[in-house]
Amino acid sequence: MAVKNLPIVPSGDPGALVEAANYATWRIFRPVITESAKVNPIVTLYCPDGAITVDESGAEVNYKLCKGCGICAKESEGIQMVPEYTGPKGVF
Amino acid sequence: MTIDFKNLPKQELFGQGNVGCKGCGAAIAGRQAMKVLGERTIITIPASCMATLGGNNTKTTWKTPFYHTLFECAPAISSGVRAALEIQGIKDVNVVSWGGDAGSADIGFQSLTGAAERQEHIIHVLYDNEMYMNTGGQTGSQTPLYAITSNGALGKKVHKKNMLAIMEAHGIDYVASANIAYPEDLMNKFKKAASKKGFSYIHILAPCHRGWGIKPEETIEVARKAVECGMWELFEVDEGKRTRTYEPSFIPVADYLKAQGRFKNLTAEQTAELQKSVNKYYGKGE
Ligand SMILES: Cc1ncc(C[n+]2csc(CCOP(=O)(O)OP(=O)(O)O)c2C)c(N)n1
Ligand code: SF4
Repeated sequence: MAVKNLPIVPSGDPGALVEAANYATWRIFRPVITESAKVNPIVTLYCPDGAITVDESGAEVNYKLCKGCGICAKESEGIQMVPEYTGPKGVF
Repeated sequence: MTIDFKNLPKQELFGQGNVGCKGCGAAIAGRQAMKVLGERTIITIPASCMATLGGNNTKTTWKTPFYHTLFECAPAISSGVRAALEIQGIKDVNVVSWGGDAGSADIGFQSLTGAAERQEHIIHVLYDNEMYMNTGGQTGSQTPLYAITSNGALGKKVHKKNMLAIMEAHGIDYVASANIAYPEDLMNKFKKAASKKGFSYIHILAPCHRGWGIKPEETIEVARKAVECGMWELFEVDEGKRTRTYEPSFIPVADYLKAQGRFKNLTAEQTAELQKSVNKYYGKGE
């Protein structure tokens, strides 16, 4: 087949992974904003997943993108890591 | 640090939904760089974690064109991309090859040195996790002295190859070292590199918690310690002029090394020897 007759393979929408992502199951701990005013905006550049935003209205975590690495809580005040699972322990 | 967060682009061109590990240093480097490089950027990536975590098939995290090259040839492909843009008269695009330490300093070295010698109008980034992480953390030329890796249980016996000096010796427009714990410094360096008409090389230290034996949340902290103890110098060589861009506070090197599992077998003599060579380098006596 001549090259010009080859089918065009559909490629994904750029950034399609962003909509599809759900990293809830990756997390053991989740970051919770305890004091929005104290959150250092530098964490928006430290988060590997672009999951935290800080603007005039305060800090916010997107829990579909967040993997619970804990970098934001370590690098800034006003964020705390809390366990995702708080049910009974030692069942198995 | 003074970053103008208000005017920082809100757009996330890379990073959201990436399939890397939690706390991935390479992803942090990519996000900080893309804030500066912007939409008009074409990326080529050789085999590495960065190639994997960008996604595959129809699902990608990149919102700019990116091309997954063979291991040996990302800078060569970038050279071709630049030539194609030039012939079409397109002038406002950054062409960036983004390789790991193997894809830049070892297996990808011949195409990197070739592109640098030709003074191609591209930026090459080496994001350095000091191991071959995508295949399980083997030793490479960028692995530091004494570090334990998956195929080197006794620790590396020889020094890390000085890639920054090698690239400087090419007489290219711009050479810089950077670190993910210092985003302002990193982003300034990308701004400068993007303004050059010739070849730029940026070498970013980006810890990998799996390979370095640290906790995911310590990625930034350990990266910062590397700079503060003096083992990772932040500097640039702008058209031949060398400037140190950050003065470290000189914490003991032991603070940096002891924080990592890969240096768990380090003896007191070895630590003292490393401290001595750092002191000597910065002209602080023996
Ligand atoms: C020619 C060739 N040899 C070997 C491989 C297997 N391989 C894929 S990624 C990789 C290691 C990459 O290491 P590095 O460049 O340091 O990036 P990292 O994964 O550490 O981010 C290897 C050996 C390959 N894809 N192609
Ligand atoms: S825990 Fe990690 S992934 Fe989640 S918001 Fe904080 S830095 Fe980002």
